[in-house]
Amino acid sequence: MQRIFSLFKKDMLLGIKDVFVILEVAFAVVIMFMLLFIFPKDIKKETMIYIYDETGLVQNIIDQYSEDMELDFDLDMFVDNREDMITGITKNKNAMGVIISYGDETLYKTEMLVQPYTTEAMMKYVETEMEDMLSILHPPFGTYPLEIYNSVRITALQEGLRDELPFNKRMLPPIIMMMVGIIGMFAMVSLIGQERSDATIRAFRVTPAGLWEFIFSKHLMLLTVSIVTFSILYIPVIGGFHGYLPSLLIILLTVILGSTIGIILGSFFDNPMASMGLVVLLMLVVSLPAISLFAPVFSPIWLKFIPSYYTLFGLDAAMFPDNNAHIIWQSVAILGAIDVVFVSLSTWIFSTRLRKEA
Amino acid sequence: MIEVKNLMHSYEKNNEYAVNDISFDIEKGEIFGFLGPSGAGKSTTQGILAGLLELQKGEIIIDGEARRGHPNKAFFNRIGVGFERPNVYKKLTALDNLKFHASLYDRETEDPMTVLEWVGLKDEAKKKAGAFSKGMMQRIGFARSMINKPDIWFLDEPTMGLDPSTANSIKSIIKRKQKEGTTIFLTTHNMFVADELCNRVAFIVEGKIVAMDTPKNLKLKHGKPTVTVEYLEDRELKSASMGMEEKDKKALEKFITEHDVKTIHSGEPTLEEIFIKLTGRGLE
Repeated sequence: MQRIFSLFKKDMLLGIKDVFVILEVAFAVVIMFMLLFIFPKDIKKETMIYIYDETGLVQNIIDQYSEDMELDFDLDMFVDNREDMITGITKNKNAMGVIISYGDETLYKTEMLVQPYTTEAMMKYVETEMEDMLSILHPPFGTYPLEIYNSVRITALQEGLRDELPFNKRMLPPIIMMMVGIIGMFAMVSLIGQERSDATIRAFRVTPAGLWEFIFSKHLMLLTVSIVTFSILYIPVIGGFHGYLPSLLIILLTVILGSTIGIILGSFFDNPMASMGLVVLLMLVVSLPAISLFAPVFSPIWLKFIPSYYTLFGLDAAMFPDNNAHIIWQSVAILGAIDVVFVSLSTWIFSTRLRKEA
Repeated sequence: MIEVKNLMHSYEKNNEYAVNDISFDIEKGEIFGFLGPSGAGKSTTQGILAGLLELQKGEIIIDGEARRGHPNKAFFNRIGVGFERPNVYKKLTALDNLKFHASLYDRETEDPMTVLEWVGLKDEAKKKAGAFSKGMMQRIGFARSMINKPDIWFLDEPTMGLDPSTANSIKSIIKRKQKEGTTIFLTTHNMFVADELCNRVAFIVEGKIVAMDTPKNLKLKHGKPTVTVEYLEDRELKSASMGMEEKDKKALEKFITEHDVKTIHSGEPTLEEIFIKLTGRGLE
């Protein structure tokens, strides 16, 4: 234990002077500020439509669907009065509003509040949509059979709920994965490469300390730095500790994986710059699952063979809980299993390479 | 203390041996020198003995116990290894480098500051090793290798790149440690270091030991003592070398009588000359 502490202390001293570790922490601070103050919270270009439903019919229908489908909707688009709608439209330059009320001659009347720059096409589109919806609410006039309306509408509402998450928060899982996981890999290549190029690893190998202690200490150091980096990014952007522990667990398992890959690369390259080509290629591969996260329609089966898939979806499920809690533990289990394989593999490769270099 | 029998090592695990069937033994408290040019197999032999390289063929017996597989922790607690390259953490201070290494051992260690004083770096103890000259880093590496008070001390070119004064300090420490009972395996291609420090030396070339004895005996066995005479002839200072064996003595007497001799120096062959004579090549 004393030896591990000593190694850890040495690695921390070296780590805080290592350019990649410094970069990781510095970037985390910069990106945290960017996410909080520069990244838009809403990048939706489509018009947000507020609905003020004096009749309560639309709400009733949605309530009925919620009950039938056992779903819980919390829709921001409904406002309670005309003043709230005007306030919302004033704040949100992309918004417009629709007021549904009882008409004199027909059963319902719709009124549209728009921005000065709202296009005619958009107004026409909303008008048609509202007309269509009001028709559907009265099946005799409906455009679609009710069951199709059910499925289409409910799916759209579910996606709509996801879209309600601020953009800066939604960006957090891929940013954390790249920042913490990937730079951790770079840092490990740098630390291992330095030990090899300075031949300090040779001096270590003729001491009673084991190679596993050497590697364990480096993992421990990078995990410590990762906890700091992760917390710098997570707590301010999410606004607290909600989902912190499961997210941390997933990212730490990812860091271990990144570090083990770093050990393998560091066994072959003395300096991280020499391994840049491979690292960039790896970064491209591990970033592919991010496409699926933002565009679920892109979900080929091979994507699940990339470990970062489980990091991203696990983090997403932990940070933004819905009905996908099982994804967190599935990700933990899969990443844990991959870690076991990679830790063994990297230790074997590292020790084999060292024996050849002695 | 150390017995090596029929040691062989091939990096590619084929029939090309970096160390080819060498055998020797080292007594407790002895300084045993491995003398040979670069690539002769010195560092490979040290690497196998120190546990850095696997034991492929042959036997290593230490204190009567044959090594099986990778050496155990007890062995690493007993040895110190000084490498040709400094092996220091450049971002740590000299003192932190030694403190870190001292913490890796399960036995009593030297006080890091005392060891730094021995190698003349006490005043630089809190400076980062990266700011040191190569010679200073070499001294930290040397200090590191003895931090655990080793029973067996492997030293690879311990004075290389050092100024004469520092080299003398290092040699004094080696001699002192020998007196304290440390067994020292010293690899070098510096014949003067070997001659001055080693009780016995082995000449190694292309992985094979070609001669092994005390420096004195090697010189007596394989070299001839000579006399160099400087004399004036035609107002010009000239020199001549002659043997000192019985048959040469009359010729020397005659030469002295017939010439205007100014100086006479006796000399013995150097280890390098013996090495060249035995191997047909130099030590560089």
